Amino acid sequence: MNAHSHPVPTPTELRAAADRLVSALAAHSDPEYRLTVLKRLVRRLGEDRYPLFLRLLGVVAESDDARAQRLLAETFGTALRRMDMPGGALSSWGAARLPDSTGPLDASAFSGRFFGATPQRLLGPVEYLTVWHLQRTQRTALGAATFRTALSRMIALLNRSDDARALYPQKLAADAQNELEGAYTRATRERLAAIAAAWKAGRSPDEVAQAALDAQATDTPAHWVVRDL
Amino acid sequence: MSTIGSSDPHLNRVGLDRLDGQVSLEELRGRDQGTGAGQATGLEQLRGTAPDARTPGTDAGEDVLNAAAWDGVPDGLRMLAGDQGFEAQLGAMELSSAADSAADAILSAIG
Repeated sequence: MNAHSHPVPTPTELRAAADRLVSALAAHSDPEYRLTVLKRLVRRLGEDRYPLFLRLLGVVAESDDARAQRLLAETFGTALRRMDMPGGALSSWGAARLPDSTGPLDASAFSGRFFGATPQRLLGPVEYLTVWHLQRTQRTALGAATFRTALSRMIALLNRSDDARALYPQKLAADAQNELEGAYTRATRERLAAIAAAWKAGRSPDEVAQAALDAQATDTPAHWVVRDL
Repeated sequence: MSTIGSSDPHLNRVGLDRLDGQVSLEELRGRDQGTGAGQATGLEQLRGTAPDARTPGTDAGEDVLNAAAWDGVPDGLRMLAGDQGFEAQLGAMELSSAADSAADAILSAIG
């Protein structure tokens, strides 16, 4: 299913879906069940519609319902403890998804796919937003204003769980130090490190999101030609 | 991937491909500046008057992230009351089946 074939949900639809999400989580107290609900929802949505999952989290974050926020945040705490996040896939190096049209294909549709499968990895919500904003992926880059708003909401939501608030910044800090795996560019690692530091320091969600935007490379001489690796 | 030539990820190959070649540099400049009737149209779309329309130059997923959910609902009243019947129905099910049914029900709410 392609994201472009789906209309933007109405406010009523978004609130109804968020309502059902919260009811579904509340139906059983088993943390594994709750994590399974999130993962199956993400799987059913598919790669293209992962942003809709992020939006549903945002709808809960924007609500005044502290119980709903705790339910969701604690489920992410479970995911972080198990290192099993309900993640979305973004391709690396500007690779495009395979076209799903049955019509004639343009050669450019295969850019980035010359040598086999597109390199992809699953990213948690914070990493997904950051990579989407900063790196060349199969999606058009996420604008700064949307990145800041969505990230701030996500952190406010996750702060409802002591586990998520403690563990997520640790994960981001570890990711930021990993240069070998190749999932993140240097700029992305710097932003992830900035998010982790501000979050660990107890800064507000808006301040954490702004810290991500403010983070700049400081150790590169101005005359260097920088490659985005 | 080298960034020589452009460090703006909005001007990547994939983004240009999606325009099917029907674009000039002047059009890109106008889009970045967001001036004129095009911007007004985009704002109307963001306000939800045309929920199935896209904001030019943005990813469909970004439009979803920007979709309004609580407009018109006063602060302090933005509650997710839940569906007691649905919750009870899931509660009576075995965990794996309940998780499947939950995902189906959530998706059906958003079409």
